[in-house]
Amino acid sequence: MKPIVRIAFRNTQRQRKRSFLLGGAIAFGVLVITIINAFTAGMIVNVKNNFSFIAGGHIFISGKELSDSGRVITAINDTAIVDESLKLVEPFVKKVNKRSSSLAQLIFGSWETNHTIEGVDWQKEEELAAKLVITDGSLEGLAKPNAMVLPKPIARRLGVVAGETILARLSTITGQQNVGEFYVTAIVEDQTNFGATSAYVHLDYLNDLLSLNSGSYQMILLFLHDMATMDQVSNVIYGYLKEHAEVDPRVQLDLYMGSNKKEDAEKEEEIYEAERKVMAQIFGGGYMNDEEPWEGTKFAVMTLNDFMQPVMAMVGILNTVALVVFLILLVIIMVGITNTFRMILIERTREIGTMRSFGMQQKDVRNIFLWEAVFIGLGGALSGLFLAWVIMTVVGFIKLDGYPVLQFFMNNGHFTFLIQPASVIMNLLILLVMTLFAAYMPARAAARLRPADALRAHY
Amino acid sequence: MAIVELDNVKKVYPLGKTEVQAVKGVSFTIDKGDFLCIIGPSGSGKSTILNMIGCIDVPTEGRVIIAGKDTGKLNDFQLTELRHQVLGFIFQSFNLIPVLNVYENVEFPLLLGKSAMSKAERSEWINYLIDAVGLADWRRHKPNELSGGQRQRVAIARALATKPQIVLADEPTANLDSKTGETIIELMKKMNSELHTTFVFSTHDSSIMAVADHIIRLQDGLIVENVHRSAGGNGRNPSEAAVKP
Repeated sequence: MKPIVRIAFRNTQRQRKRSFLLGGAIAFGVLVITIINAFTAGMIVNVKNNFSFIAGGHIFISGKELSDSGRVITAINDTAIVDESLKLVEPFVKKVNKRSSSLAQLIFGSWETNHTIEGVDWQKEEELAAKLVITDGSLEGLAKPNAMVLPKPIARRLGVVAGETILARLSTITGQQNVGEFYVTAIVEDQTNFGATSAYVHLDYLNDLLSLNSGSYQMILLFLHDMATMDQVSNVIYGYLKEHAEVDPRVQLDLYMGSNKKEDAEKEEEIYEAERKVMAQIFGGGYMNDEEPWEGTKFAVMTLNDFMQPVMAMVGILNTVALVVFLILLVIIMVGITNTFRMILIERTREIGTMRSFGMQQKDVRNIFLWEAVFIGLGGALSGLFLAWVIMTVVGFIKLDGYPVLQFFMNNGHFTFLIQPASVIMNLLILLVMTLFAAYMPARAAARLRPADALRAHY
Repeated sequence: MAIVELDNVKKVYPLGKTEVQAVKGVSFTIDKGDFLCIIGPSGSGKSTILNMIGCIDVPTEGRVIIAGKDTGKLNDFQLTELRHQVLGFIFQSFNLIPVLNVYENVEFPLLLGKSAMSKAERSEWINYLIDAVGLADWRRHKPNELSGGQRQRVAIARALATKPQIVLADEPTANLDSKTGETIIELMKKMNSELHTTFVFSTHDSSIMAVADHIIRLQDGLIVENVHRSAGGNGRNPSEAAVKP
C-alpha cells in the first residue's frame, strides 16, 4: 500500500470517536436512501405482480371486429394470427389465459351501479384466487356456475353481502340487451385502490351471456417468465400482428419516473384517446367508433406497464423526496466533514511540516486528507448499506396481516425490498464526490502550508 | 569540499506592521563530513539559518547553495525534491509520525520519492539502521510506546534513511535527560564517522559542542565566531583555528 494511503487509513483511527460519529452520520444517510429505494423498487414489482393476477397477465391482446351493420364487436374470431404471433415468443411465455369482459349494470333491490365483469377460468387462474383478499363469504361457492366475486366498494354501493343474488344487465356482442343472475359467493378488497378490481365470474357463463361464438374469446392474456421482458415480447407480438392484420396504435407511454416523452398537447391528446379506447376495449367500457372501417379482426396490444402510471408516479415522488432528504443530510454531513478536517489540519500542522521536510510533495499532503475523507465516507457508506440490509431482511420476515389496503403493495403479506445496484452505486458516487468536495478546501490549505511555518506550530 | 555555502544571507520576518531581521548578513561554508554546531542565545538566528540550509525556508537576500544548487532559484517542487535527496532532519521534539511504527517511520522518507533500492535492499538497510540505533526489539512499536531517548533514536535512523549528505538537527537533545542526550550524541558522532554524513546542529548543549569539529557562534543574527577544529578534537580548546568574522 502506498505510504500516503496507509497513513490516511491509520489517521482515521486516531480519533476513533470522531471518525465514528462522522461515519455514523454518513451511514444513516445511506441507510435511509437505500431502504427507501429498495422499498419502492420492491413495491413496484409487488404491485405489478399483484396487478398481473387481478388483470390476468402481463401482456393483453384484445380484438374487435366490425359487424355488417357497422357495429364494433369485441371478440377475437381470427385466432390463427394470434396463435402464430405467440409462437414467436413461446420461450418467454409462462402461461396463456383467456378472458372475456363486459361493462355491466349491476342491480340489487333498488340499487344499481356500473362495473366491469370479467369472465375467468378459475381452474387455470388459481393464482388469482390465491391473491384475492376475502372480507365476506368464501370461494367455495365457485362450484355454482353463476358464482360472482364482488369487490368491496361495489358490494357496499349495492348493499349486498355474500350469499345473496344480484342481477347484471349487459349487451351481447351483437348489441342486444341481456340479463344474468349472479350468486355473490365472496366479497373482496379492491387492492388496486383505484377501482380497477373487476367483479369476477365464470368465463363460460359470461361468454353465454355475451353470445360469443364457441372457440372465440375477447382477450388473450400472457404471463411471462420474467416481467422484465414485457416490453420486448409485446413489441414482437405487436410487430407480427401489424404485419398480418389491422392494429390499433400502441399506447406508447413512457411511464418510468415521470419521464414522459409526450412532446406537445396534440400528441398528448392523441395518446390519451388511444389509451382510453384500449382500456375500454380491455375492461369492457363502451366508446363511439369513429374509425375508418376495417376488415377482419383489429388487434390491440397492451402491457402491464401501461397501467402502472399512478403507481410509478407515486414511486417517482417517493424516490425524489428520498433523494432530496439524502442530499439535505449529505449537506449537513459535509459541513461536519469540512469542520472536522479544518480541526484536523490545525492538530496535525507540525506533522505536515515534518512530512514536507522529509520530501513529501504538496499534492501528497493534499491526498492524505482526501484519502482519509474517502475512507470515512466509504466506511460510513458500507456500514449504512450493511445496516440497511439487516433492517430490510428483518422487516421482510415480518408478515403483516390485517392491512388489506397494503396487501397490494406486498408479496403475500411481506414487504419486499429490492436493492438496485445502479441506484446504490449512484448514491455512493454522490456521497464520495460530496465528501471529497467537503474535504478539499482543508486538504488544499494543508498542502499549501509552508514547511517552516508548519514546523513552528505549537498545537 | 563545501557542501553548503551561505553567501551574505539575510532573513527578514514581518511581525505585525514591523519587520524583524532574524539574520543580518551571514556567510560561511560547511564541508562534507563536518560535525557542525551552530550556537548562540535564543533569537540569535540559529533555527532560521538551519531552516534555510534545510530548504524549508528561503533567504530574503543572499544565496544559500546546497549540494551545488542555489535554493533561491528553485520552486517548491524542486526544493522538496532537494530535501528528499540531500537532507535529513532531526527535531527537538522528535516529530515522529504517530500512526506509523518504528520500522515504518524509518522507512517513510524512502517511500516518498524514487528510490534506487529494491524492496529487499530497503528492508535490509532499514533493519541495519534500527539495529545501529539500538532499537532492534522495538521495530513494531508505535512512537507513543517509546521513551524520549528511544524516539530520538528512531528520528536519527529516519534522518539517515535516504542516505542524505546532510543531517540537520535542531536542538536534538533539548528534550532528553543529560545521560540519554550523551548517548544520542555519541550515536550521531558514530554515524558521522561511519557514513561520512555531514551533521549540522543548532544547540545549547555543551556536550555536542565538545565533540563538534566546526562551531559557529551567532549573536543578533550575525556570526561572532567560526571555529574549525581537526576531526576528533576534544573541544577543550575551541579557540584554536578560530576564524573571526
